[in-house]
Amino acid sequence: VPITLVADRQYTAPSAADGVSITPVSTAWTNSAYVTVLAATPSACVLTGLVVHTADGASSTVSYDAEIDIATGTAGAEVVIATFRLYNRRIVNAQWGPQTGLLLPIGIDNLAAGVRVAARLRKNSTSTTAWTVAITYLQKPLTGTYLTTANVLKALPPAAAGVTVTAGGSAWASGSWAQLRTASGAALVIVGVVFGAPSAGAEYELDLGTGAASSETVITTLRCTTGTSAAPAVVLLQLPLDNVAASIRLAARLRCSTASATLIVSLLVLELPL
Amino acid sequence: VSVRTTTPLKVAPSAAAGVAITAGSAWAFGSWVQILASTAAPTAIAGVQISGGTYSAIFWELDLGIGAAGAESSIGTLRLYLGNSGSTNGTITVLLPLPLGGISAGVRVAVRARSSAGAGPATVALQYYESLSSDHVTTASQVLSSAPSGSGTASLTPSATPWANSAWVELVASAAADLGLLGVTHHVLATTATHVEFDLGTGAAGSETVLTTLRHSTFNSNRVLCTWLPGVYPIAAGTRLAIRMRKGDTATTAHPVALLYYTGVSSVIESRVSQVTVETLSPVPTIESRVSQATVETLSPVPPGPARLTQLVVETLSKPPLYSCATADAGPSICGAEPVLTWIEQTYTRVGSPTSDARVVSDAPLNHPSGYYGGPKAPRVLGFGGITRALSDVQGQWTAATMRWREAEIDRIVRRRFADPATYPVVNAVDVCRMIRESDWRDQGEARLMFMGHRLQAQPAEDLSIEHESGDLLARDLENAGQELESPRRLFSANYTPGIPTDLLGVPEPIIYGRASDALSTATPPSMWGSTSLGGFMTGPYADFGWAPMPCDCLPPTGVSVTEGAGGSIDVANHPAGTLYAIVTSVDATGRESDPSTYSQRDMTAVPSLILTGSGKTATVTWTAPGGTAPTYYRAYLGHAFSGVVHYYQFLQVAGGVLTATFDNAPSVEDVALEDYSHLATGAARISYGVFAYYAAAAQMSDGSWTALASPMGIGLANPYRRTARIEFINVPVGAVAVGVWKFPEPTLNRPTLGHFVVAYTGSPLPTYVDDDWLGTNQLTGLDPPQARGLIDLTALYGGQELVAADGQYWHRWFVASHACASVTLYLDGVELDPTTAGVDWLWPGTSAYADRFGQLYRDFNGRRYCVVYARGPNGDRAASSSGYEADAGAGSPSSPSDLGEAIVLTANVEGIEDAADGTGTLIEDLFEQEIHWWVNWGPFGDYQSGAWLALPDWTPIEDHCKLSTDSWRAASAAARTAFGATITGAAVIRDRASMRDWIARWRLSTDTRLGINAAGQWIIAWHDLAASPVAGFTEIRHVQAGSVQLEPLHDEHWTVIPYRFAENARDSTWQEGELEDLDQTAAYGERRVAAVRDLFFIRSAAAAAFLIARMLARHATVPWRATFETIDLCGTNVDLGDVISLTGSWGLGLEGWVTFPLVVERIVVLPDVQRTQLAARPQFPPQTTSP
Repeated sequence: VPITLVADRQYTAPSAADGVSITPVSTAWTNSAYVTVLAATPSACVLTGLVVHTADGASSTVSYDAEIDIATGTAGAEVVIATFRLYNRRIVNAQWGPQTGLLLPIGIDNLAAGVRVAARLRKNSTSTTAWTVAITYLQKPLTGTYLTTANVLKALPPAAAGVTVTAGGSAWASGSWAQLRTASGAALVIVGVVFGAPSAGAEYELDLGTGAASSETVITTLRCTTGTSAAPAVVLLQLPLDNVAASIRLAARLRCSTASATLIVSLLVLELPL
Repeated sequence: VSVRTTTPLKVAPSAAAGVAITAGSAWAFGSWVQILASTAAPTAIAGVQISGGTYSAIFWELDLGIGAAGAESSIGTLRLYLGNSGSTNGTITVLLPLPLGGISAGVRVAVRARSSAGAGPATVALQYYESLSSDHVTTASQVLSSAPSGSGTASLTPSATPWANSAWVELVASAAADLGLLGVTHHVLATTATHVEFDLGTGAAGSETVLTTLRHSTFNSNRVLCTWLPGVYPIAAGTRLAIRMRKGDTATTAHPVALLYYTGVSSVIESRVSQVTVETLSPVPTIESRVSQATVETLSPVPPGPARLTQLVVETLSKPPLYSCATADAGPSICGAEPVLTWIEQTYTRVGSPTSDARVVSDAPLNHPSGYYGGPKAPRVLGFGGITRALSDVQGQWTAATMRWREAEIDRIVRRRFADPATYPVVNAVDVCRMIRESDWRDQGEARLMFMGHRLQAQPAEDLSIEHESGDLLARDLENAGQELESPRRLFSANYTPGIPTDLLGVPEPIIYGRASDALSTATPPSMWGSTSLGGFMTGPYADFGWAPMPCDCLPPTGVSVTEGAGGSIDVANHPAGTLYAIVTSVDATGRESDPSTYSQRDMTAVPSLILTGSGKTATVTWTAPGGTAPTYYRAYLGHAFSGVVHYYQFLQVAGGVLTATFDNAPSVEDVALEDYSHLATGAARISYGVFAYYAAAAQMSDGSWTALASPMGIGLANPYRRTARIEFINVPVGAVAVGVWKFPEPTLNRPTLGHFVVAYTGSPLPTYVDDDWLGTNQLTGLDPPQARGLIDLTALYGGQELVAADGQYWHRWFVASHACASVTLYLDGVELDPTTAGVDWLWPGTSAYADRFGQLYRDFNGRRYCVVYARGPNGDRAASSSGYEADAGAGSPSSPSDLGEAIVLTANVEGIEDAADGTGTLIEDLFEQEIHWWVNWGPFGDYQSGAWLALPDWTPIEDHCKLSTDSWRAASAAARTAFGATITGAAVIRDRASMRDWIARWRLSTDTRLGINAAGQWIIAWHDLAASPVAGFTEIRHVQAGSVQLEPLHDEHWTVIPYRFAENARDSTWQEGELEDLDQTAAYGERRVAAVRDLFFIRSAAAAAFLIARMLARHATVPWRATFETIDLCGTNVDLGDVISLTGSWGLGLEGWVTFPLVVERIVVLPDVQRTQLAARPQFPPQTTSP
C-alpha cells in the first residue's frame, strides 16, 4: 500500500513530566541559553515534533515571531537539527498562547544514539516570560515508511520578523504579492505556514506563489479561520509541498472576508535534497 | 513521491464564505449541503475549515458524501471536539494526516453535520487536491471514521497527582477490520496551563501495552482540538484499543476523547523499501548512502498489491574514503593454446651515478623497436624457473613473491659487473617480467605484467651461466638496508619534544586506532529473566528456578511414588503437614545427573508425596526406569515443604538396576533450622547448598562499548544435585552485538568476579540466554564488569612541564598519541574528570580552554604532531608524581607545592585516528579501513610526522598504479560486514615496537584474512568468503595436467580448540581470553588439538572476536587439505590469489571424486618454460563437501 505508515511507538521527552523551561533573553532575536530536553537518546532517534507552552501574554498583550531550536551535542557544543517557528499573538488572557503540539510530516533523522538533546529560544520581543518545551520522537530502526531527512528544519525568513501580507480592499479580493524569498537559495519543501497577528477575526485564504514579481504562479492555497489572537498560528502541511525550485522567488498574497485585513506570514521549510 | 506533493491545495468554496450548514437534533444529521458541484478531476479531501456558529464543549461530526442530490453516500465522517465558538484564539483549519481520496472526476461532493446538541459551526469550507501527485491518500474502500462515533462517549478522568496515569478507557473493543490511526480529538483543560500526554494501548483490559504516546499542551477555549500521530499507525483487525492520559497539574476534569482513523488500512507494510543495492558508478567510491526519496508505483488497481519502485534518489552522506586505489589490470590474458613469449626487463644501478643500465633478456631473440618494452630482447635466458606468488600462512606470516631464471654468461656481462666497483650492486637490480601471446607480440600489443622485483641473488656457475633470483619489490617496503623496519617508527626524542623526562626518551610514540575506551554505552542494559517453563530466579537456596536442562545422557526416571513403611525413625510430627516429598534423578556413566522426575519444587501438588501416619516410619521411593541410555546410578531425594517450596535435605544413591530406595530417617524442621543433620537416613548423604552466585548482564554495542550492568539476580546450587543455571535476558538494546553475563560471589557485585560469559547477539529472539553448568564450560576470565575507568594509563607518557605561552603558566603534559585524536576523556584514579575543571587545572582537546590556548585539537612540536593533555595545580602535580615527577626537581616551575600528597593515576579513554589528521575528522572505526591507514602512515609505506595524512604511494614510473588495492580491503570489509551482520570495528593502542611483518601478521589474525600480491603487483588481502562463487573451473584431462595433482592433508593446521585473546587492557597489558572448541571434532579425533593462542590485537568486541575465531575453527576443526595441480596451459594466470575456483576430477576426495568442488587459491606458480600454471588451493567449505 502506498500510504505512509508509522508503525513505531512515539516517545516524549521529558516523558511524563513538565516541559523543560526556557527563559528568553530580553534582546530581540537573541538566543536563550540551551536547556537540556533529553540527557541522552536511548538509541538513534527521529524527531517527530515539538510541544510548547508559554504564559507570555497572560497579563499583557504580545505579538511576536519566535523560533525554537532543537539541537544535539554536549553543553557548549550543540548543533541545531531543527528550528520550529511560531507566532505568539495574545490579547491579555491567562490561558491563551502558542501552546500546541507540532507534528512534523517529515521526521528529522538526525538524533544519534546517546546524544544530548537541548532546546533554545529566540524571538522578536523583549519579554523574558518562560516557555516550556518538550519533544516527540521515534526510536530507530523504524518499521514504518515514515519519510525522514537528516536536513535541518528551517524557518523562512530565519531569525527575522515574518512578512506582512494585506488582503485586497474588498472582501475576498486578493491583495498584492509580498516576497518571502528572493530568487535564490535551495529548492524547498514547505512543511508549515505560520499565520501571525491576524488583524481581524475572520476567514482567510493565503496563496503561496513562485516566480518573478507580477508573474507569480500559485503553488498552493491555505484557508483558515482565526481569532485575533491567532495562537498557535502554525498550519502544518500534512502533505508537504515540494514545488519550490532552487533560485526561484517565493511570495504570498492574502484575501479575507474582511477587507484589507493583514497577516504576518512565515514558513517552515526543508531544503532539498532531503 | 510518497508523502510529498507538488499538487496545490485548493479551496471550496473559493474566495467566498463557506457553505452554510446546520446540524440536526441531537445526533441526527442535518441536510446534505453541496460544496462541489462536480469535481474537475480525481479529488482528495485534505481538510476542512469551519467558521461561525455557537457551541461549547461538544463533539461534532461532519459527514462527507458524494453523489447526486438526494442520493448522497457517505465516504467518511470527521469527528471533532469543539471547545468554544466564542474563542478568538487560534487558526481553525483541520488538515487530515491522510487525505480522503477515492473521489472520481465529475462527482458532486456534499457535507452534512450532527452533534450532541444540534449545535455546531455555521459554515464549512473544504481544502482539497485535484489529481494529487502523492500516493499518500486513501482509496474509496477506506473510510474516515471515529471511535466512539455518534452518541457514543469515551471520557478520561485525569489523576489528581501530576503526571500519574489515569485509568485506561476502551476506545475499540475489537477492530472489525484493519485500521489506520490518525490521532485523537479531545477536550482540553479550561483553567490550567500544562502539557498533556495520551497513551494509546492495546491488549486486554488490565494488561494494556502502550502502543504509542501523543503529547500536546493545553489550549483553553480554542474551537477545535486534534492531536495527530506522526503518520498513520496501522492496527490489525481484532485489536482492542484503549487510551489513558497524564498531565502536569491536579485538575480532575473529565476529558471526553475520540479516536480518528481510516478503515481498511492494511497493517502489513508491504511497500516499505527495506533493502537497496547501490552501485557506485563514479571512480571514487563512497562509504555509505542514504535513500532519501523513493517512489513506489502500485501495479494492481486495488491495493494492497505488488508495487514497483520507479524512482529512487540516493544521497551520499559520507565523504569519500581517505584512500582509494582500484585493483589494477595486469594486462591481456595469456590463456589459450597459442605460444606465449616471456622476457625480463632488468635495470641495474650504478654507484655514484643517477643513471642506470637497462637491458631486456628473453629465451629467444625478440627484435622490437626501442620504444617497445625496452627494445630488442637479448636471447640470454637458458631457462625460466617459476614465478611464485602466495598468500600469507595461517599464522599471518607473509612470504615474498619470487622469480628465478638462468642466463647465459659467455660474454661475462654480469661477471664484469661483479668485478666493477661502480656496477657491483647487481643484487639491487630491478627486474620486471612480462609475458605475451605471440600474435599480440607481432602486433606490438600490450604485454601482461607477471612480476616486479629486485634481485635477491645472482649465482655465477661453472658453465658460464648464472642463476638469478628476484624477490618482490613490495617487500622492500618492509626493510631498510637488510634490516626489518619496525612500527612505530617514531620514538620520543628531545630533538622533537624538548624537556621530556629521560624515562620517555627512546619510548615508541603511541598510535591509537578506534575507540580505545572502556566508556559505557548509554543504552539500557538488558533485563534478566527466567523462563516460565523453566522457572525464574530465586532469592534463597531453593534449587528450582532459573535452570537449564541437565546435560545427561540419560532421561529422568518416571512413575515416582513414595510409600510409608514401618521400622524406621521418621515421625509425622517432625514434618510440616506430616508430609514428605521425593524426586529421583538418573546419573550417566560420566557422573552427569539428569533432570529430576518432577521439575518444579514450587508446584507441590506435582511432586510425589507421602502423608505420614505416625512415628517410627520409613519412606520408600520407587520409580520406573527411563527409556534410552540406562542410568549408571539413580539418586532419590527426600524432603519436606514449608513456605510453599519443597526443600530436599538428603539423598540416597543406588545402582542403575535398582528402582527403589528406602529412607529410615529424615531431619526435622527444627533439625534443619539448627543445621543438625545427624538424623539422615542410613546410607543417605546430605544435600549441601554450598555454592551461591549472583549474575548481572550487560550488552555490548556494535562500537565495542558495554552498557551498565543490569540489577543482579541470584541462583543457588545444590550439591550433588547440580543443575545448569540458565541466565536469560530480554529487552536487549537495539544495536547490541553481544550480551555478557558476569558471575559474582556477592549481591553487592564486589570484585573479583567468578568469571563471565559472552554470547553473540544477532537480534530478537535468539539467543536469549547463557548457561552456567558450574563446570567452567564457556566461562571466560579477564574481562572486568563494565565500568569506565580510562583504558589507557598515561603514567608512562608523562612529558614534563611546558610553559604555555597563551597563559604564561607551567603545565604538566602527557603525550597521549603521536597524532591528533578524535576525542579524549580523562580519569583520575578511575573517576572521570569533572568537565568544569577544563581550563582550571586540566586541559584536554575538545574543550574551549584547550582551543583558547592552542587554537587546535593537537600540538605540533618541531614538525611532529601529538595528542597532548595538560594539568597543573595540586591534582596535576599529584598525577605527575605518579609518573616520577618530584616537586623540587622542577626548577623554575612555580606550580610545584612542597608536598604533593598522594599520587593519583591518570588514565584516558581515547577515540584515536580520524580522517582529517587534525582531530576534527570522522573517527576511522572500520577495522579494514584502519589497516589501510596503517599501511600508508605507520606501516610499510610511510612515516607520518605532521600535517595531512600521507598519500597512498604508487609504482610510477615502473607501473602506473598504486601499491595497495583498497578495493581488496573494502571487498573483504563488505564480506565481513555481511557475514557478521555489522561493521567489524577495530581498536588498539600500538605502543610497542615490532617488525612490519609482525604487525602485518597481527592485522591478518585480527581481520581473519590472508595477504598476498595480485597479478598486477599490488598488495591485496583475501577474506575466506563462503558466499563467493567460482571465477573459473578446471576439469581433469581438459584443463589439468596429468600427473600433477597432489592432495596434501595439513595435519599441522588441524585444531579442534583455538584459544584466543583480544581487547588488550592498555592500563595493565592484560587481555580478555577465550577458547573455542569443536567438541564433536575433539571427540571424533580422540584428542583436543589445541592451536597456538590467536592474538586478535585490533579487536575489542567480544562478539567480533568470537565470530572471527569461529570462522577459523570451522576451517581447521577437520583436517585441512591443500590441492596442488598444474593447468595444461597458462589459463591458471586468469585467476588470482584468494579467488574461488572449481575443480573436477576423479582424484578428488569422496566416493565420486570432486565435481565442481570449490577451492580457494592460495599459491600461483607460473612456469614459462613449460607454458603451464601451478595452482595450490584449499577447500572453500570444510570438511570435504561442496556446500557449507
